[in-house]
Amino acid sequence: MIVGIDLGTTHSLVAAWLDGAPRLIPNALGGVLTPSCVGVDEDGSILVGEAARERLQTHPQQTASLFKRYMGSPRSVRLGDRDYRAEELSALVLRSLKADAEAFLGEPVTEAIVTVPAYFSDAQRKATRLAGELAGLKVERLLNEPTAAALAYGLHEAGSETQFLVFDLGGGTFDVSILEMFEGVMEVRASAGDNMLGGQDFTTSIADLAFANGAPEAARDDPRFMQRLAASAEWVKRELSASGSASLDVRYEGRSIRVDIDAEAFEKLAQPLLNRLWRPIERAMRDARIRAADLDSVVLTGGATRMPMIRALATRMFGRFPAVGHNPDEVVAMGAAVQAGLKMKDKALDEMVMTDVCPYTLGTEVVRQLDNGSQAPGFFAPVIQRNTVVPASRVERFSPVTPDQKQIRIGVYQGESRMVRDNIALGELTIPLLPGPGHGDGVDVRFTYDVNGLLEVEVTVVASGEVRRLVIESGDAHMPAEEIARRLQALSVLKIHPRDTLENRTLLARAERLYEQLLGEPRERLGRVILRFEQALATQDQRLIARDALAFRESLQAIERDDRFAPDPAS
Amino acid sequence: MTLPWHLDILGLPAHADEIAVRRAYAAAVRKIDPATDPDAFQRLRHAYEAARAWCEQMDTTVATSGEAPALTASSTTGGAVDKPSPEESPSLPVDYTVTLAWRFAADVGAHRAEGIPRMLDDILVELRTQYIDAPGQFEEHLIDLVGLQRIAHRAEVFAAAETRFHWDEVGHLAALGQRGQWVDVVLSQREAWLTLPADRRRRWMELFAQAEARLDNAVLRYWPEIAELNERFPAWLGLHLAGETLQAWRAGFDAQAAAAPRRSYRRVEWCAAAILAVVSVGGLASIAVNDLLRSPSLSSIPFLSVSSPGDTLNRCMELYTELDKSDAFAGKRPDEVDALKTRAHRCQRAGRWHAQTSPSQILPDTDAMRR
Repeated sequence: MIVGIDLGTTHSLVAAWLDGAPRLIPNALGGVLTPSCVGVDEDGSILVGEAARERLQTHPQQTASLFKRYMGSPRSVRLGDRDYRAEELSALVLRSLKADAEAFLGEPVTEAIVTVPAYFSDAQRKATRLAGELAGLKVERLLNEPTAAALAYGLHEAGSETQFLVFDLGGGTFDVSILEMFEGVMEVRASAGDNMLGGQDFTTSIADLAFANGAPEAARDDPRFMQRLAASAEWVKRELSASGSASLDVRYEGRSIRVDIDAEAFEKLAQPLLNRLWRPIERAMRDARIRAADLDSVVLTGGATRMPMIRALATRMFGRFPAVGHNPDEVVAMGAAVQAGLKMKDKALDEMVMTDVCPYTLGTEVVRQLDNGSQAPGFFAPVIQRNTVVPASRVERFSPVTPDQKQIRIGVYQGESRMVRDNIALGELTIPLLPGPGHGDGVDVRFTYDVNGLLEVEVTVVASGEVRRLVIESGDAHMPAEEIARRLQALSVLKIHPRDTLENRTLLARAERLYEQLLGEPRERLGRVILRFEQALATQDQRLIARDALAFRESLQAIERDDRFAPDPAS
Repeated sequence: MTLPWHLDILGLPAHADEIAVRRAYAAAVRKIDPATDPDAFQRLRHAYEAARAWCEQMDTTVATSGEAPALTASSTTGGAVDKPSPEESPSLPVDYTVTLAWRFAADVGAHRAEGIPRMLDDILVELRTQYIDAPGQFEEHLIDLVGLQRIAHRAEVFAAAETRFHWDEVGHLAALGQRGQWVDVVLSQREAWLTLPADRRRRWMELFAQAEARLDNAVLRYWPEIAELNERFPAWLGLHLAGETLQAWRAGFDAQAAAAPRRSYRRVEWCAAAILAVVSVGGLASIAVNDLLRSPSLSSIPFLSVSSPGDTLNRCMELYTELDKSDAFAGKRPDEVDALKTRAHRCQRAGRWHAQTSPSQILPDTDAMRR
């Protein structure tokens, strides 16, 4: 069985293709959204999901979140006594989802389709694939998130002829894809995006209000305060979507900081972020050679599209109301399950075919002959243009600059700038050239971009027929094979909190978080309730624990009803 | 008669339309797994893309041939990158962005150059209160205004627009079609220009400003230098000197030179270069004119009165097709080859081709580049 996984910035989901339809798989707590949070418990065991998220405020030094943003970068986070790379933290989330899927399906799960933002780079894609490997999952396919959303959406539109746009504003990334569907063929025409723009940035803009309204800059160094502030800002953001006004209310060193905000003020605050939404959409529309009037529908996905201002903006941009009826948090995972069904050649999907594009321009460095006869190096010569359908393979011939040149250097770059210095260097290859006949014929450079969005470069010396291959592994984030093996070993010996007691552990983490937020008498009352539950857990009497857990949950709910820090169950 | 290769692969007859092409592709693509057989997928994909381009071209040919004369105010034919979709466009206020572009041109003319970046920022803010197509449409009109020299302070406008409209992105310029090619030519020529000594560039810039203000005898005598610059950087120079100024400069110099006949040989050569440059600017009109004429208030604006600007474009396009074959030079005498290369190079310099999209027979040949 191949499962589909949406590995998100704020939360992740796993789904499977079952009985001819995509189906979301619940986690140990019975929900389908598992927060992309990883923490280390007091006893050194790893906590993933809701329990870790609850501990963000109480144990910020032992908990990590939002690490998808650092995928493919050398940055690491220290949890307890060990440093973790984003790949490893993601691997722990994937491992938890894998366990959920195995419990639900009753069979081992070793293969997965994992979704990535369409605008993820080569390094970020490789990091995602590595995360799968570290979690013991063979990543059958890296699927672009807006394409996944389109697959779930297109399932209901099969047979019709339509052009639509997917507007995917997730927790940490923004993607736009334009798709065309005909005769059961779903074709991505163009994708564009911003890897550093998501719902999280809107939350941060609210949180920053605290600093403009009395919180000292020094407070930024207090991780507990920052997590409390983030949680409060998140609540304000949701409340603004629901009721149109809310107030940010946090305490720092006994001082209360309170900022009232309404929808209009929020929109003004978020204007710089809203402005950044235009560019990727404009770009995708132009690349697809399409105008707003040519689109049959606009599909919103990603939790951040719940914000009314995003919906209003999309409506104005396209002159039509966006399509609704899909849960924006779930649609990507559903699409990943559809892709899993396609991969398993399921009968129900017999008529459906999907093609995707590579959103980046890939090319090499060339020397240009200037008008005055001199030569200038450093120019970017595209080999694969952005938004070419994948898999794609293109050859370009390059000649040596001088007739007595002994070698030729092929640099591989990704980007849009005319000069290579402004693009991302992916790797390079130096080929010796022999003097004599055919020297001037130079080399054929072939770029091959596969369905997963990974690049391979092959260089053939025209005169001799000699072939060299370049495996793109450059970049400071690259891990050599021994390092991967070592990290895999290290991860496999980590103690993971047992799945069957995760629910109680999560309840306890939630109670601790509430305890920190409360003051005075309610705090003392909660302390007594926590103590009672801990005593019940210590008895190891399953019947007693189950009964007390129920009572404990009810008292927590009662407290949360009176408290505005209640986390939304859908986050 | 043999079928075009793309129709052959798709198993289609010569009269196949777009729907038939899509159906044939949809049927064929189901039989291929792109992950395991990428080569077969690529062959099919190439055939499909070629067939669709072919169908689109057929559609356009049919559409335009039924619609001559195209250059009227009532024309609804889209611009170079737009799909012809006259039924759908009335709902979109295309005229709004044209009006905004001309308002901007008027503002630029009335103010000092320093204010241009801020004026453009204000317009971008306004555009972003509109629908998604608006900024792109405005950008196209702006390129036309600069290329057609219908706006003052062109160098400053170009520089301000360059950063705001992402003209540094190769993919963006590619998607802009011919307008993108023109922008790219300007950028390339600017790079070449910047390799010249700074003090000489400064002196020339002062000269341009003087010439734009008044073409007196002190300025006129520099025409040979300017003619040479104009041959090397025609598009870049167009940002600093109006086509009319160049023509008047040349004419003024000719009148002066009538007294000194031994210079005449060099003069003829430069005349040709100057005309080529003006034609290249005029050539842009053929793609831009439809859009600009949509607004009734614009129909009265005279375009550069260069005879049949489209001709250069057409000739260059024909030459391109000819040279893009691998056997383009087969069976030709060396002098014929040279003549072809010189013509090709002229097209390249006039901004008809971007170096990267030049026909395969020309690009690697550095001889032609130096000529």
